[in-house]
Amino acid sequence: MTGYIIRRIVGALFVLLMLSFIVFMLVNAVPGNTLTRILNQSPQGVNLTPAQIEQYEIDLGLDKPVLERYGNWLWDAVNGDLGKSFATSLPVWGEIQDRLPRSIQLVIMATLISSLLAVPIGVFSAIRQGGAGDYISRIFAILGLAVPNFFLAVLVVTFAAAWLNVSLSTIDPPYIWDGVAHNLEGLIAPSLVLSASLMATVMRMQRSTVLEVVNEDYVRTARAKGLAERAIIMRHVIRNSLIPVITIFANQFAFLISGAVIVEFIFRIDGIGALAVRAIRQVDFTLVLGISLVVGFGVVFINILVDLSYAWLDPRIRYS
Amino acid sequence: MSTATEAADPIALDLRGDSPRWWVTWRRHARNKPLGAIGAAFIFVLIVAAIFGQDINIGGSTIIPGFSPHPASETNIINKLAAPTFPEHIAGTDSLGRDLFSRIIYGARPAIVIGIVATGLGILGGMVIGMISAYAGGVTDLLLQRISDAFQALPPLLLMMTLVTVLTPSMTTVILVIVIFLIPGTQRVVRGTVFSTLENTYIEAARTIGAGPGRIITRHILPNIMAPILVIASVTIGGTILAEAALSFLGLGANSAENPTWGFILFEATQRGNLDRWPWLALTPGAAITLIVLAFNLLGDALRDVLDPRLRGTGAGA
Repeated sequence: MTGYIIRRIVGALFVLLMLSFIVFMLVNAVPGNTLTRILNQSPQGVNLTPAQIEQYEIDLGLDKPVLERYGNWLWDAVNGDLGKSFATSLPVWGEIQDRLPRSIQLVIMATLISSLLAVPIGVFSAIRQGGAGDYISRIFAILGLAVPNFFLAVLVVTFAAAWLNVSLSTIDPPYIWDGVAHNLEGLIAPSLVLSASLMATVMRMQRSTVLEVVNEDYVRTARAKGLAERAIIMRHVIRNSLIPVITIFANQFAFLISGAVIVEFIFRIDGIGALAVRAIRQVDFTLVLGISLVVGFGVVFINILVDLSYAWLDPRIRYS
Repeated sequence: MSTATEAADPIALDLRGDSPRWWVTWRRHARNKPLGAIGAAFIFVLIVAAIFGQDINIGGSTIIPGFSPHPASETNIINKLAAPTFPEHIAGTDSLGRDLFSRIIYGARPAIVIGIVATGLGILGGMVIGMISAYAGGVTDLLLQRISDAFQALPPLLLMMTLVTVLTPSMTTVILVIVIFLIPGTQRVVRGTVFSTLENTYIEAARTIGAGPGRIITRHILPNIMAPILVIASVTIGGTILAEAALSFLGLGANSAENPTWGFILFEATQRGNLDRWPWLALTPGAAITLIVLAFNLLGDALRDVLDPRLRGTGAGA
């Protein structure tokens, strides 16, 4: 087991190194001068003398070759310094740190909502295959996959606001430790919207794996020895159908963050997603880089966790 | 088509020769997979709208006039924010008095073009890389897989937004960016399929009689992976259209003055205050995106069941 964990961590570090290199090269491969792009965004940038521009370049370290800049940036990043935002001159890590709690909470809540609802519905749908409940939940799942999250968010913001007489989009929720009630008031609606497509995916997956597991030999054995149907479902079917479903959660994590970008943007939650939209609009490359690295780290970390939980759920995997 | 023969066996009908073979096959599938057929029919309507909705001009003269009631950008301030009326403005008008139904028809073209072209190129790229990775093995395989891991560790929307900004938004950019997003996932599936195909004894047999890699790939591997590829392609198109719509919604899509994209029309709607007073502004483009994605997903599900039962419910492309 230890060897397996070490192998996974080394692999993950390599992936992160690759990711940082790709994103760094990407944002530095901009046609034209990076600095001109940045200066065009700021009002005072237009009237700078060539000498001032040169000074800016030296300040931002843009006069050095790109590989050297990557090396310096990576060294600083490893030491916990992600540089300063081009647009605001604030430290990138500080900007991210302030917004991380809300985004993490949003993603956790969406994951909880979808697993608590979709897993039981999927199991129910499978054991009552062909029944009315099965059809209804499948129709909702198919719709959930097709409705864009931004459309759903717009609908909720517009119509819930009008009908329930609450303004959902202007609440900037406090951190959860600064007031649970206010925090949940602001984050419940966005996390419901965010969970929609994940719920649909998980429900479909849960349904089809249960249908597969039900036909396995060990389920037939359990039936043959006269075990109650309830015990068969709880002990044999659900447990064995969970592994592929957990993979779906891991695979969908990056998509969930994509969704969070949109949902935070529409509900005006000041999280990582909203920060990313702002950074990309302002061509704030240090901020884009920092966000990519932090988010990429999260995705890689979740994938390791899921792989380990796999090995824990199914001992056969530990030895392969 | 007489109604009396409708319920009869399609094969028998075919033997009597009163309908063409493709129609018989199509009807048999449509009867087994009614939802897939509905999806296909809706896609057909949209392709017609994408091609014939607007004027087709060759050499400056209009060959076929479009059936769209108005040009997408024709403004009429007097009639702004009008509620849907039949038959003048069946989806209402927006804050500049533009006919929303016409704007949706004009938006079908970018949606369909991006959906099909980007998915096609992305799958093709994934096939090439997946086959190289599986066939070469060793360091090449390891490197390609880790690069693809790195791409997949970035949330797709973040990756696409960054790429579009770096390259400046346009139709070509959006297609390129979606292709880059599709390649890592596709190549992984192709690589896996190629690996399992390589295990077969007929590959060994082909090697024994001296077949080179080129012959093995084109004659033995490609035919075996075409079914899963087709299934992946059909379930991916919906996701591709969604991705473009999300980019458009954030102002980074393939929107243009002549052909507004559905995502951008929805974004425009949100820029108008008191949206609950003119809900058609948001409902029309939102419903258009939902329905087209739904149609491609339904068709994809049906195709998957018909072509490759093993992939059923894997959520590939979902």
